[in-house]
Amino acid sequence: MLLDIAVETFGLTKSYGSTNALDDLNLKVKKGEILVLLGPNGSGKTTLLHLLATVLKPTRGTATVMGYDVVKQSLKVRETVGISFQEPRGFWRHKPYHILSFHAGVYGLRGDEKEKVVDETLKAFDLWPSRNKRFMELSGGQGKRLEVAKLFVHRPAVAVFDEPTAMVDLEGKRMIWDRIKGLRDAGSTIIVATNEVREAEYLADRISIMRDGKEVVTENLRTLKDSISGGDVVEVEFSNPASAEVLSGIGTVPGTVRVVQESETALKAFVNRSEDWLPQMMVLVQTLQAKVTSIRVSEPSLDDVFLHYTGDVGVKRTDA
Amino acid sequence: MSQTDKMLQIARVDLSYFFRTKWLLATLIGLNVTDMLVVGLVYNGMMAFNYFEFFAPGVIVTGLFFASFDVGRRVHLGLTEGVSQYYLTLPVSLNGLVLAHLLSAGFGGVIYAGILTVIAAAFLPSLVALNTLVLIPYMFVLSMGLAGIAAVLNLFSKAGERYWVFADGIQTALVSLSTIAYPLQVVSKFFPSYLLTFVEYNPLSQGAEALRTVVYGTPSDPVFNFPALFLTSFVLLVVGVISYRHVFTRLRESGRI
Repeated sequence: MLLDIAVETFGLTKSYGSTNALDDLNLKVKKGEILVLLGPNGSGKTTLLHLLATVLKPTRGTATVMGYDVVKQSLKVRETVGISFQEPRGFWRHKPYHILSFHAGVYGLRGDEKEKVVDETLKAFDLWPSRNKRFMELSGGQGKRLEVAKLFVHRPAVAVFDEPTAMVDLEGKRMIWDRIKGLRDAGSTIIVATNEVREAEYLADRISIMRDGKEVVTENLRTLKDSISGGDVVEVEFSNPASAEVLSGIGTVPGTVRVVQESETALKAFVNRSEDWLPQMMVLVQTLQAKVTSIRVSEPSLDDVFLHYTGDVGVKRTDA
Repeated sequence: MSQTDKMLQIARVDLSYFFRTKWLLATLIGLNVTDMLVVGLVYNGMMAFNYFEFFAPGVIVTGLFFASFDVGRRVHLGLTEGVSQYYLTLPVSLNGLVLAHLLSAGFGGVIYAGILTVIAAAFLPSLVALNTLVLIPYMFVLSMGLAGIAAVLNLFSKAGERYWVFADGIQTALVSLSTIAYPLQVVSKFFPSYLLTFVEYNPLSQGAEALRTVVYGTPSDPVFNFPALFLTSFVLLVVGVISYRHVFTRLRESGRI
């Protein structure tokens, strides 16, 4: 195993009857990065997290967490990895203070140190006023914050979060995202499963898009956006009606996927890597003595990337 | 931090859930004390022997049974509410998790039975207080053994309300087919002979006879013996370990209970 790899899966498969929730997955997570698993419901994200946290046992294949095999060395894996479940886990009558205190205790914190960490974590996640409420009396958002907070009590080497901000308000989302980044900055490797594109965009060092239990693509955001053919849209306006020569000339600029004439003086070009395409286009229009009055560039959003890789649709534009 | 420490922490938090259900606890104690004082004392004048002396130990063991059996309810809740999945992510071995639940049942049974023993002491002083202390380890093993029966229920009642139906059935059978309420001579008049062996070796009968013999000095027939109690409890405990191992392994393999 490479030294900079924290988590690696080898043909990891989890089947329920004839259904493969996870299908021959081969994935690597680098040490110290935030990898976001992005995929539609049922794509296998939660199953993968449960396998890594040893809640589930693979049907075939295996995975390693910091070099420990999830099947053969599951206890070592549990000492290394921590999971924040999608649904908060706690007995209804237990209170947040006791839930975190128990969690801290099992991970070896004792006495004053334990008390200090638990108090700080409760305050950091805005749970201090609710610390003596029973679990069943917490709101959905409070329950979710408590679930996430568990991992900040013992700060595992590998922390996995399943939809960490579901049910949490906007302010809370930002707070949790920043704390997850802080955990990464402190040295933990983070895996986040979500189907919320904004969360992925905010958190990810790399994004792994999953579909039907398989990894479709894993890249950083920039590369993912660039990977969509014709994903960048450049709108060009001319001072005079664009000639047929200009239109056909632009169509021949390397990186052009499609050109649509919007009006006599405006066109829209769907291109790859607009930063490379634009200088070449400008040289061309100058050669043809056309005068450009405005240029507007927009790149594909992560929604576009997500739909491109997970749906049966290409990049959709309202006017494309 | 050792596996034993972690196991004890889980056992403690599991046990605390029993004592957090205050109203359930109050109802149980209320029922047991009502049995002991009302039934025991009222029937005292109606029976041919001192019924309270006979019945109070039976009620204490019934309380021990209910308290240790409650681990099955807690595990069932844990399985349905996902807490067991959380436990499976903690740095404790599968055997540690299983033993934690059974230990919590053992402690729960002894503590609860201890409360009833204190209440009974107001009316039925123990023969020698030290004898009660001597009996505690045996009651602890008995309590863990009884939890083994609850584990078997957890194994077979996968979801929904079935657990409660099975639990009620087992409780009714174990309490009815025992010498808790009546001596073996009386029971033998009402049950076929093949059931009498079960009545005699029923862990509840064993526990009640242990209390009558050792603590209160009111032995009935058959006279209790420690090895039988220990052996029965140990066998049930082993069954409990196997059952809970199977329950959690199944959860890990199939993702559901």
